[in-house]
Amino acid sequence: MTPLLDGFAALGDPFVLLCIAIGAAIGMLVGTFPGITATMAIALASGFTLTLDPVPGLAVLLTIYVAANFGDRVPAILVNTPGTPASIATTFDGYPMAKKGLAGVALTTSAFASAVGSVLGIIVLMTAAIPLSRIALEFGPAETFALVVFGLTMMVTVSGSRPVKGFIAGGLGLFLATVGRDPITGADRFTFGELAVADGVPFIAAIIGLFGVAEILDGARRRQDQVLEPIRQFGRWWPTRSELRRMGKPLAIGAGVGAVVGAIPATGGDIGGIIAWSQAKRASKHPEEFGHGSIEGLTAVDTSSNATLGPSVTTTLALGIPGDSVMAVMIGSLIIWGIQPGPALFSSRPDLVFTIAGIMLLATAVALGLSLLRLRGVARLLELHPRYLWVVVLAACMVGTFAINNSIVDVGVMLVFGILGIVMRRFGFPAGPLVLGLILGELAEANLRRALEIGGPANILTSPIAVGILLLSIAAVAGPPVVQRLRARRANQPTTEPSRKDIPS
Amino acid sequence: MALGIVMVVLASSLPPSTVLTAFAPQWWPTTVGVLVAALGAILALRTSEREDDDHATGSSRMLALLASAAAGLVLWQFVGFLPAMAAMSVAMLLLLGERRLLVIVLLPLILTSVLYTFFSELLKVPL
Repeated sequence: MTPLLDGFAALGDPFVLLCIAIGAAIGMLVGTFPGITATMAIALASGFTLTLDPVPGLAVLLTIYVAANFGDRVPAILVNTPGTPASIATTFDGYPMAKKGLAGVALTTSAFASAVGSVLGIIVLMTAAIPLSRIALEFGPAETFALVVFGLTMMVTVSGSRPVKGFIAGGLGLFLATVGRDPITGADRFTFGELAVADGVPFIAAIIGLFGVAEILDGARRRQDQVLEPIRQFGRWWPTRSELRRMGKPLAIGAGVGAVVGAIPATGGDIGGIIAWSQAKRASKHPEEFGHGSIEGLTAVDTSSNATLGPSVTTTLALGIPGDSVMAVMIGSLIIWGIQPGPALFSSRPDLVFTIAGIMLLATAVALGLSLLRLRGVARLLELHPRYLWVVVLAACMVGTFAINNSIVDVGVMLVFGILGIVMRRFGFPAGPLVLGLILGELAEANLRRALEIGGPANILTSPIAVGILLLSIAAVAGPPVVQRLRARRANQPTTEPSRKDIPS
Repeated sequence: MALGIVMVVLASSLPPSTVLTAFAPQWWPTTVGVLVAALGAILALRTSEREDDDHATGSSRMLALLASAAAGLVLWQFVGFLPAMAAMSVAMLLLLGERRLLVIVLLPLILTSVLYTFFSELLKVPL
């Protein structure tokens, strides 16, 4: 059989379909509750799914990933609060539409735009993953090291913090990744004779601590006591013909922007949505409506945000470099299942591309169906006090972490990383680069040392691909401040924040 | 910067490699430590900044959650999963300001039962 048929055949198992249904329900709920991100949900679900086989486990995780990107539009439209960071730009036009009495149309438009974006992204995954991995198969230690540096740099530049703090967090992750056996000589490092850390810091426990526990604790610290007041008047549910006609161009813009942004390591739906909104506004005949309830703005944002998913998975699996923060977490689970993301993966298991694509297609269909159900019940959920959620999620984090290795030490590690996560947030250090450093540390170290042992620094500096990737990394860090300074000088203004006047607050 | 120095000190305490290699096991952690120390120095030269801390109620709420979780973990080892998880969730709800008896009784009961059934019975995790 062909890889395509082999890949899709794996989805014939009723248990896998059940896992997709469970993942969709969890993903929609996760997305709907502001404060629980898809990253956090995937981190938490990793504890649950590691006891499953890879395909059912992937079905749960990938479906949560897809469905959360549908569910998070509901609070963005009804309470002006993004359910996850990926729906930040949905609030720009979704909430103004809801305030005008068009909440129903906004929810329906958002669901269809999200589905179209998601399917287009999956087509990118199906067509680009194997050719990309074939190119990357030619990569030696120097190129692989450069690729890890690029992934880490991108994660730092998009993590919203000052780059220096991002790099320090990444450095801490790289250092923590050295705990355990040396990848070249096999010597123990920083284990202090403890068997529990001989295989390194348990990274799923660390991820659940940094993204799950720390987010809950931070939410408890920041959250005001009042509950959210959702909009209750939904109005009509379906767009008119003239509204439908206006959706074509933003759909195309959103899909194009999402496909490109998703393929860039570490960038996700939040950035894709904002860029698509700006581009659609520029291309629109009615730019004045943007930010005041434009159906074009909403369509572009949700198409783009969801179109990033497929390319993001492509980059993660074909290159071994996470396409966004959710993928950084998912790499952890894949490694434990014995699936090492990277160029060799698809040459040994090309069917896996299509299994993953099939899971994501089914997840999109189920999430679209759930999104089109009348959402008054979901809106009522938003009125629940978050304290119930905090208790449930913290308990689930503890049990889920225990289940990975049946180890109470792992639960302790999770709480320690939860505290570390809170301290980092308090002082403005992003957690994403730390996780990436922790996951990619061994890959970076082993490849750098091999590259240097083979031919010294010249081995890296004479590789055009490695040099190109490293130059891109430097440009990613140095570019924005340089451009900002040049613009400020041209406008004869002080160098403060970049102008965001186009984006509604 | 202190973090980087600690990394370098820790790396230098590693025993020398018994394998013939140009880059010993301590080389990479030392390199990372030096980089982090240098980045820390850059950060220290700039004005220190902290986000606004106008969340006094929130901070006590956060500490209450954390303390309950830590106590729950300790209890888990001594009295087992079911009583520890139930006691932990009751404590969390009370500390977070829940006063309705029905919620205080029902939520921990349902939560503990669901987690136990899912993990212990279905996934065969020895809780």
